[in-house]
Amino acid sequence: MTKITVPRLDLKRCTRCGACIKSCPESALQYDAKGDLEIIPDRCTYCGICESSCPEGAVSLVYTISWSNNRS
Amino acid sequence: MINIQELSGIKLFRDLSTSTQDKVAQVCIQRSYGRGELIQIAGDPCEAVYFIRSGVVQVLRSSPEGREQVMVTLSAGDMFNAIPPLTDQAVNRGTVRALSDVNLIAMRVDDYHTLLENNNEFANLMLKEFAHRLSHLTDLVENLALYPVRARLARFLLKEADQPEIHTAWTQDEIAAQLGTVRDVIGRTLRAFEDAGYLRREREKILLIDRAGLEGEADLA
Repeated sequence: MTKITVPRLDLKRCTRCGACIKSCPESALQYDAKGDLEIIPDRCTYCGICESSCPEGAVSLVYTISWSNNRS
Repeated sequence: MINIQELSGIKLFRDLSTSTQDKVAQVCIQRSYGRGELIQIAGDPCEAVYFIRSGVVQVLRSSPEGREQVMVTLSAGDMFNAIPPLTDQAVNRGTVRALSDVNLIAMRVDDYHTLLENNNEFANLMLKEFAHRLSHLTDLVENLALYPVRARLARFLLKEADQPEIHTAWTQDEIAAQLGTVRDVIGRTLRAFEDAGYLRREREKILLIDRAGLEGEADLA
């Protein structure tokens, strides 16, 4: 199974305010059984709204930078 | 004290004579840190000079408001904290954070001074490293002073994409710290570059499309 990249969560910074859960258009964020934030990979479209909505900087989208195969 | 074989795994020491490697090995110890751990904090008294055996670290400076500026990212074979022990204040100039699991070789400050005073080969090695570091910092100052964020980001993107090896994964916060700005500005500038057709994003990939356009933004054309 191909691993789906999801945003990086810094649980030490997370205050569990719920802003990211409320803002996610795909309902891809939730609290796990321990009360920690987690992402449901199959639902995440990597739109970045969670990163923008987090007031603590606890959610970060990660990117690699490379040349496209179809470039000018 | 460590094994002399462990020293030969560090590129920095490979060209030293066996005699000097032996002297270095006698005064060094191993230290390990996990991803995210702080290895040293700016302002604390210098304890040691560090040489990286494996892993990646960032050297950071912070403003009073807590904004971070990445001074340099270091990996296997690099060293840090070699200059502060030579100053009058002898305090750590930067905070160093492990970006991955890190294995270091540490040399206590007193032993470092003794080696520099008594071993010409080791002293010359350090001089060359200082020259290399000074050159890097001069480039960083030039970028920050002379080029706006759009140009700095374009240069950064081109440099990263042109790397021949495995590409580092970056958050927008990390890019912002590297370029002396904040995440929101990086986000807006990336969107502007996307709108201009210089790049596109596919999930976790930023794919560069238009080299000429980016070089124009970077003032490299």
